[in-house]
Amino acid sequence: MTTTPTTSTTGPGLAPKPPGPQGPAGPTESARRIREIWVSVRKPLFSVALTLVLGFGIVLLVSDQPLHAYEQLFVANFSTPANFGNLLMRSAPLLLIALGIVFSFRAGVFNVGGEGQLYVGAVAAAATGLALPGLPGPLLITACVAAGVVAGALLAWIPAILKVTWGVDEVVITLMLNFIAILFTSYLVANPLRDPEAYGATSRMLPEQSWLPAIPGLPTGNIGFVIALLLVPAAWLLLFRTVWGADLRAAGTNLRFAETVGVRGRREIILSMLLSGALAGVAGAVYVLGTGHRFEQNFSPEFGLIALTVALLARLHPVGVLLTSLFYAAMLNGAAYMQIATNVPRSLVSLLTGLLVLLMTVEVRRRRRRGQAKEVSA
Amino acid sequence: MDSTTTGAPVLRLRGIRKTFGPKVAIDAMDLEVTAGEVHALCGENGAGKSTLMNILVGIHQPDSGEITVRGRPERIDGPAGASRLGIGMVHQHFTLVPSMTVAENIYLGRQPRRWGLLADRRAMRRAAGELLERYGFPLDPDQKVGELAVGQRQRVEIVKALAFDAEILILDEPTAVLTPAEVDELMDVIAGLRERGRTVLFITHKLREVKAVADRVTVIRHGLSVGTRDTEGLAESEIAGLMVGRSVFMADRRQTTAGAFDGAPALLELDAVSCENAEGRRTLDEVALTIRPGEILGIAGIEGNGQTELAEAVTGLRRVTGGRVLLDGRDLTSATPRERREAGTAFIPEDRLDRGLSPEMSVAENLGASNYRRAGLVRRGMVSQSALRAYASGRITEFDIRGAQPDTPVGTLSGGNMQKVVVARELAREPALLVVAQPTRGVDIGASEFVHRQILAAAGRGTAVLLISSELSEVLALSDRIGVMLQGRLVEVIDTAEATETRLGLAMSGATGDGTGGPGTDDAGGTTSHAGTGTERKAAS
Repeated sequence: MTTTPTTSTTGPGLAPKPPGPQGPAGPTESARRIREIWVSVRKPLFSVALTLVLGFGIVLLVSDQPLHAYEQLFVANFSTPANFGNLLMRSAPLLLIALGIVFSFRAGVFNVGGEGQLYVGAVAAAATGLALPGLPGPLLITACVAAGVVAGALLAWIPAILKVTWGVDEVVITLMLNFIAILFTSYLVANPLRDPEAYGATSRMLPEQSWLPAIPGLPTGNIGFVIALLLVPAAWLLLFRTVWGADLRAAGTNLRFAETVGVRGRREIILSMLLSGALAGVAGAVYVLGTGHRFEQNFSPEFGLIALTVALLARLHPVGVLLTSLFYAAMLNGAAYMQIATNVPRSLVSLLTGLLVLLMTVEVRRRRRRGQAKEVSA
Repeated sequence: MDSTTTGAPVLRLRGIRKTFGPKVAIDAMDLEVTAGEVHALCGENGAGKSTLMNILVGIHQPDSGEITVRGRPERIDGPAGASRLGIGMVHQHFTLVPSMTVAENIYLGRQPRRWGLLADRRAMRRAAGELLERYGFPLDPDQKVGELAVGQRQRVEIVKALAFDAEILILDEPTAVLTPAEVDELMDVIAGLRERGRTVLFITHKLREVKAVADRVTVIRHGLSVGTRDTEGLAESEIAGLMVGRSVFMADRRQTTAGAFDGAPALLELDAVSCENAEGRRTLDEVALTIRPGEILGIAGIEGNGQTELAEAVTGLRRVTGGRVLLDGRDLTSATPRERREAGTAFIPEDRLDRGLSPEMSVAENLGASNYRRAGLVRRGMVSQSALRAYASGRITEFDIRGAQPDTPVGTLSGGNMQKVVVARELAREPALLVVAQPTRGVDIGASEFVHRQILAAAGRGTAVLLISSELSEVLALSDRIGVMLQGRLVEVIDTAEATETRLGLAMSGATGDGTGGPGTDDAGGTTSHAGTGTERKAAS
């Protein structure tokens, strides 16, 4: 899985275009843009559609009420404001972690430690909220999110510095740090942070002024999702419209080229990892402040790993990440509704996501081959 | 060259046409090869050379046209058919099995058999030994091919083609993989084949080789033969002109610049610069040199003698273990590549896909890299897309980068056009020092000419140029002074006016020659001197 991003660096500014003889005049600006966007989204859309069709075939085999099952899987998410709010809050951590993954993978650093960075961000936010109960709401929320940012970034800094100093493989380190982070936060929540009155390993509840305010009209949704949503265009601008973003992508696509043109490769590697970890830390803080209101041991249904798939399916593009994280959240939540309402097990979703990954991968390889053919004939 | 015996053509092509889908690879090709001659086939990349060769060995069938071998019209239906007609082919990429011996490779698939079943290894080895001896190749039939040098492997390939009485031997760009010394030896081999009455059809786009060994040359362009000429008295610029369809600019500096830089202060100064590799061996050994503004210092040498290290030491991409690098008097020895670029160094690296470009990124982004601020493309912290696109379009026009739009991924361009992207980006920096390594490797004539002009123009604007090239003719044509690298040391630095291919060739090979040939006896391309170096090298080894 970690090798696919090198082939999928296509952003809207880079969409492959047949070098046809259309002359320098070319199509108009807006038409060109629309075509570029269509070229970059049509294949993922096709893969999703095909996945759903094939999935429906499977549901037909196992269920006597296939339409109802599919309706629960997708439509139930939008049937009530509460369900919709739950959908948004399910997607928020996926979106935030995946945005971080986009930065690290675009820089050629394979941060698969989103899960661990999420946990330390969450525990840091919770500890801050519990330690400063006297602060007013906005200040306390800012402090908690900042603590999450710092914790996530610090955890990601370890593999980054090991990589640039001794060339230690970051995949191994980030993966191992996941276990360390999860077990360490388990220790914290089982001992110093533990709520003595609660059953199980959870922290005390955070002061109420630290809870993220709800989105008007969506009682189950809160501004944590809005924060994540606002970070999408910010990430896109940073990546595709700044010199730093260009340097980062240069380092990620060809590090030897990047250092030749004066990009400080080591610096970009460290910065991209810090940013990546910080975003996963924000995800942890948003979860604690918005959804859990306290830190619970093993609270994450592997958000970090799902975000990896989300980012790769989105071809490491921030806007794509928004869509794929919503899609995944819809599948995860919809699976629960489907299992309650029909006899189709929720594991259908694992099957569908596996299928989707398979179809997207097939598609990526085909594109690469065509790229080579073009080069030969040119 | 006395063998322009105008006998009957042993091989004649008339109106050969071959299309692949909508693409016309060859359009009405005519070719006449006389028995016993060395005939060069020249053309730029994509002109149809390889397609024509594949037709001659039966890999492709022509759509129309006639092939006549020894006066009889023939249909070549495959490599075996070609072999029956006495046509043998040496491919650009070798088709040998490294784990087998020389003899086994020569007879691969055609081993002499005993009792119709068992391979007769003894007979095979004896026959292979005889063949090698007959052609004067000092190779051991029992040696594994994997242990041989590239030039030796090519000989095995040649013998393999000759083993089955190939009268017409086709060599497809045989020098692309060889070192200059091996090229010289190959030229001798080809001359030897002619003496033994074989006909050689030699595909190349290197003009020097055409002049050196061929009796006649046929130039093809866009799938058409544009003419066949005797090489006797034919100037290289004429062949180049036929290849690109217009007159070609051949750089020659030495008349214009001799002594022009005397007394000027150095812009780049290397003071006993050394580098070591991971094993502690010195890959760059106390190199000292100076380049003055507007001067081009050429570095010749067989590849792997420290040229790459030299370029990287100057540009900051490799850590220097000793000595100093001074740019305009500033000590940059410990400066990073970024700091050196900011101080005025630009670098056109030897491998554009390795260091020169990010193939997956767009033409615009490859042109913009490290130039965004300098070219005024940053507005309020953001790269202005319209400004970047306009900037890229400007460079694409100015540098004639064909097939490129600003958004085209740069990796889909041809080699010459990719190189132009690198050159455009680096020259946009208006550098004080330009380090250029192998600027025209894998680049067609039109683009080579363009790149050469750009380098000369930069020098004309006062840029000091360090030009590293394994093409002697390139170094001779562009440089004011020439240095030779050998085993990490800079062994000789002389004015171009005193340089000849012979003298440089001797220095490159480590022979302590006295520089015979004298100044001014041989023109930019060099014509006959290779034979001298070639034979001397062989005698020495």
